[in-house]
Amino acid sequence: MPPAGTTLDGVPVTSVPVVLEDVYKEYPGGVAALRGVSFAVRPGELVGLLGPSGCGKSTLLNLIGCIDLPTSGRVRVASHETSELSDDELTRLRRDKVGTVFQFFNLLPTLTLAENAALPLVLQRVDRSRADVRVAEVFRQVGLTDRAKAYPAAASGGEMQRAAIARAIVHKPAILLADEPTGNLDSRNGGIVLGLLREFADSGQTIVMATHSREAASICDRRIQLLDGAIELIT
Amino acid sequence: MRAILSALVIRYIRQNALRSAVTVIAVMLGVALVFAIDVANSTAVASFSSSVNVIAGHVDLQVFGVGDGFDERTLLRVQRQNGITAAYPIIEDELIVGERRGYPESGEVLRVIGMDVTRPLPRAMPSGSVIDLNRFINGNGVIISERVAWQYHARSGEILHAYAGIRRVDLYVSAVLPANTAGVDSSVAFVDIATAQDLFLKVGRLDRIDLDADPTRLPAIRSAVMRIVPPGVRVIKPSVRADEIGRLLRSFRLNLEALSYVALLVGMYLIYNTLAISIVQRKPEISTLRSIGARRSQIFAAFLCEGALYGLAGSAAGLLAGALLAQAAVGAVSHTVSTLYVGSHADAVVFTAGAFIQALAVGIGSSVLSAAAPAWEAASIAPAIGMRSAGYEERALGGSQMAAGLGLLLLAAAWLAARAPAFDGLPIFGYLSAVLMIAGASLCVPAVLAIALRILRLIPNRRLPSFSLALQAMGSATRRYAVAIASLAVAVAMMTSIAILITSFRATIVDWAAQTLQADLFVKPPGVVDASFSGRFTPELVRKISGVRGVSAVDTFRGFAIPFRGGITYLGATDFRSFGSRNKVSFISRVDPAGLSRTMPGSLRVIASEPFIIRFGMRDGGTFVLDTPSGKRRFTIVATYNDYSSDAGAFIMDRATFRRLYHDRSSDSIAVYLRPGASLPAVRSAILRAVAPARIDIESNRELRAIVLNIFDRTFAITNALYIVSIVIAVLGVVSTLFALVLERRREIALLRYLGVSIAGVRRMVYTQAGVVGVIAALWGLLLGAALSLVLIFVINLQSFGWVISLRLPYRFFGEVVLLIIAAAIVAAIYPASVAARIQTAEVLRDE
Repeated sequence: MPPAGTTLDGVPVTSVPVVLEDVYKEYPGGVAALRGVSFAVRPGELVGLLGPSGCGKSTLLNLIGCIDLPTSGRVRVASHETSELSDDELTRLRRDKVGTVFQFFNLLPTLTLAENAALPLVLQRVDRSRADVRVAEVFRQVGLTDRAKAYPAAASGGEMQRAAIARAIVHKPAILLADEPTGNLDSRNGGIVLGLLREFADSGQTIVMATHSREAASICDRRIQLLDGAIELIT
Repeated sequence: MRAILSALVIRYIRQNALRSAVTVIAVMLGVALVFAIDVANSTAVASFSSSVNVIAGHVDLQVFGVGDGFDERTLLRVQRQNGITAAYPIIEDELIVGERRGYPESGEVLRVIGMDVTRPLPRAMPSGSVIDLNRFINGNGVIISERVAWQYHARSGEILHAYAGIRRVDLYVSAVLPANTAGVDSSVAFVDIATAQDLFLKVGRLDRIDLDADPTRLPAIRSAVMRIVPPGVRVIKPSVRADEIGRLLRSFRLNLEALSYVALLVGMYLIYNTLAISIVQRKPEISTLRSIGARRSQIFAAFLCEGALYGLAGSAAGLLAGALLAQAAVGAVSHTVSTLYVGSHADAVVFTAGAFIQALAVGIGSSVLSAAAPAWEAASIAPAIGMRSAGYEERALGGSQMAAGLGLLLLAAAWLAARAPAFDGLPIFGYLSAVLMIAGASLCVPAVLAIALRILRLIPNRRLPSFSLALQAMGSATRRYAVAIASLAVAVAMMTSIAILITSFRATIVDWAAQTLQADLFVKPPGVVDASFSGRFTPELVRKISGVRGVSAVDTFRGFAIPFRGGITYLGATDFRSFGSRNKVSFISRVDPAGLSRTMPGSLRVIASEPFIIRFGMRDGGTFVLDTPSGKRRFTIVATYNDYSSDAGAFIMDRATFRRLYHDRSSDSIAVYLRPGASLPAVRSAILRAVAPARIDIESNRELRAIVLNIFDRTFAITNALYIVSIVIAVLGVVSTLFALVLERRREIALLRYLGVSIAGVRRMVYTQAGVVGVIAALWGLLLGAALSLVLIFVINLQSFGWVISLRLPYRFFGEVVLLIIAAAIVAAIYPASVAARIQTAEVLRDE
């Protein structure tokens, strides 16, 4: 980990949203998911994690998403080293600084699309009227204004994923993680989702996206190719 | 089929061992209660039957007297009848042993059989017993059980101290019957008939004659004997008396058994819910099996088998637990039967193959029945639907409005059933009404929950995200939560309805005692409070008490059980002349007690208790014929009164009429009124001195009321135990449901954790859900319990026992039960909450 006051490509390291240094992750049974991974993600950068199944993409997202800790090495998210945080502190970090888009949307079926999107604000105990305004704003951004009151069961895959994106950005996280965001969508909806992610990155949102998709990879500022838990290539 | 069973059921049960165990435990508790109560009831009745017929092993007919018995010369006339091969005279009476001075309930009643030693010894007497016959016949010899010998320190050859009524007697123990003597319960003692006549002041009289007769001509012989016995004496088969007792105890047994089934019913909800939840979890597997060719019937059968497996395991364990529980239950039931109905002492629990088979069948049957609906649901899963990934419960389970509609219909049917009269003297429609009410209220629970959740969402919860998320989760699984709430509500309802019944009944008894127990002192035989025992005070003793300084007046009462219209009721006699100045009865009819004091003496008029009126379908102004020792007499009922001392019913005639018809001048109890200013302790001591050497107990008004309430509380002790078990089962249901829903919602919980809900927040969610379950179950249960209590008080109790009870509500209990149930539900959430808190976000989402 660089000492405080140092910079990364001219950016003070404390302002770099994601820094990984020599990260190893082993699962019970001795399965090595990551082997000495190091990289950093600059503010407003859209980074793609590429590679075949089992190469460690999801593990990396879990570490950056603060739902898992490295076996060794350091993971720094929004200026916090995750290994030094308690479970409650990790939860708060995740709640306030991270937004995630999943391949299978993971919307709660009992809430409308707007209510799903409002969940992070509910958890942050944001005043209801402010939350409603913010949700309306992000729904305009993702083009779901007319579908705010629909339930997931009545929404298409594309609509559900756009609602999931709205949920991921509604609380203005420092980092947006996307795990195969187009993996469950047709090409048209996939294109819409990728367009939204690119748009967010252009407006300064830091995004880390794990993907198999060539189309998804093509919109990234930087692509990190993984193989067997190690970085094979950065382009 | 085997493969389907293995894939769907066996492995699932193994993988979900904890929840399966909870389900089995619930069935076990239910079956244990049903079995224990059944065995306890049977044992209490068997105990009585065995002792009434203890020496009637080969008896074809019995000649029975009432009250004071009949002239012993009847024996000679009976013996001379054609077809009679042997006739054995019997005296039946009671001795008190183990009485301690100052402890009115310290003694035990021994039922004494006075028999002619020329007849064979009791069939149960071990062969080879050596008895000194001379000492047995001429030296107050007695044969007692090993338990009595041990308990009262009187071995063979030693002296047993006892009371025959109010007279102390010393008996020589001629032999001790071994503990395992079949067919003789340990409270029976045998003496020679002449000894019995001396002990019980029945010289020249008999209570019963056992007859051996030509079995091919029994009806003719019976008719012939009936013609030669004195008026009022019956000639019956030995089984008739046991049947009469059976009828006497029928309502008591039925009510207790019905209550024990409630625990099983609560267990059925748990099985239903366990299966219903597990089927949601197994949808993909079921769908896969269906898509590769498994038939609906096979899926249905597989889940019925799962229910049967829970039933089988639970019932087997329940029989073992029930056998242990029966030991305790027998004591409690036997005590109640003894106090309220007939003397009964159950030495050993009587286990019959029938009781085992019945409990097993009920356990497995109810489990299969509760599995039927979920099994049907499973069989209805289409091959494709369930195959999609993961499984949140579908949002719109729907049907809650339809269920509520059906529930309201059932509640209406319950109301109609509650208005129907008794069937064959039993409140069959009352029970039906209770069952319909429970079913109807249960079906309304999903709608009630939906409404409650809507109301709870109105609470400002922006600062409590766990609260709103918990409510949201409940809204998505209303049916699952509804079943848990319904089962807990049923248990609460039973507890509430019984509490209202007990509170109302107790208050009614207190009022009744205040109205009817007006004397200052009550004289009773020493040592016991027992339905089968009466005192028999002589007129001389009554005169001695009347003459004590400070005594203003005494009232006497004589009463005993008589056979009446295939059952048993109580005949009482008192002096109505005193009714003008001292009304001792709480009349329901509009009647002037002073008028009774003029019209009743010497007449063939009676006043009848409410249970008598209801049980035998009588009314004021109605008449009935009684076979008295002076011949058949027609009596007219002139008034009805409240009575809570016996559900067998009673009627009271004037003392002079009784003396004329029954030739009996004795009394069972004496009520003493003091002169103004007289000292109660001084008069009590003076009475004790006046009647010496006779031994009596004297209770003050307050002491007697305390005894009455003590008996009342003891009677309901077993009831309390029953509903506590129901609550335990229902709480297990809450544990099981919360646990299952936590497992079912692992992905959702993981997602919430990912989105930023802390571990404490997850715990709070589960506790909130448990709290909501507790609150709704407690409130809905209170409401249902209040409705059930009306059926219990005004239908079931009235039709079973004829007791008219005024409704009283135990408000403090209501508050306590709400707190207790909420606390229990939250305690039930501890384990599910810790499981929820341990869910590994990364693993669960990675599994996706």
